[in-house]
Amino acid sequence: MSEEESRLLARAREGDVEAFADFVRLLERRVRGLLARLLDDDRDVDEAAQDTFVQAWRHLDRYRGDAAPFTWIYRIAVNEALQRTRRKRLDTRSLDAVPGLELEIEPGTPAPPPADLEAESRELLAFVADRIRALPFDYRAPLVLRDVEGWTNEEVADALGVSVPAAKSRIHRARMQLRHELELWRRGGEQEDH
Amino acid sequence: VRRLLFALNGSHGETARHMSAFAEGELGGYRGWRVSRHLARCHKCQALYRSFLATLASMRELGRLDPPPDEEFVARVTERLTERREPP
Repeated sequence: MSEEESRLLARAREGDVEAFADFVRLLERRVRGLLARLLDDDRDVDEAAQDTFVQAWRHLDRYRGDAAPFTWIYRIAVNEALQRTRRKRLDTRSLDAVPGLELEIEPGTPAPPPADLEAESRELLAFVADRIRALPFDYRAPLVLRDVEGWTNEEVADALGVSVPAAKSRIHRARMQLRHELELWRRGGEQEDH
Repeated sequence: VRRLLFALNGSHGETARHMSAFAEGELGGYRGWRVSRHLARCHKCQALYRSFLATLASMRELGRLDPPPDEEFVARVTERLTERREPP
């Protein structure tokens, strides 16, 4: 897949719009998926994804081939999400003042998990996605990149412009918050059963 | 005595603080040994660690889900690209 992406990018650099369209077609789902997890407003996702690819087209000469094409486009998408979030100033709450491990966000709706396993899995993932999006961006972004997208701590720190210890600290706090909320959700289900 | 017990068995707080590093295999040395020893003896922290790992697994699962393809998306992007190529 990466070779095909690289080949398409090479053609796009020569001005081949059709090749770039094929490149977009290959990666649009992953980019929209990433942005849907990074941005907390669905209305922003499509526009941000479009802007990501337009930025990539405009800066094709900056792609040096030292990273996989999807890594390059992911970085552009992360920057797009960062800029949009900063512009909107959505996350003004400071977490540092909150004692203990738990972050200061609204607790999740403790809807009980359904009995059917497949439905439970869907419900669980929907709950996880919802609670991730409820995290402040400074915590959501490193968590998504590390645990949902599978980046290394170093890649997360580099993409977000923070130190590795800071990235690790945010990831850990976000994980603990999410774990706490998931546990509450699961306990809610158990209580309903008894 | 409390210090000695902490030195040997760690604590709930220390274990929770270093759970990410422990799960990722980055917690070596004496502290890693102590967290491991605490987890082996503390049922409360074992439960916490299990739910912590389950949370990580849920997020990995989430990463395997992408939205359905949107053919019109490609058209919207290429339309913007061609618009940019036209002279002002």
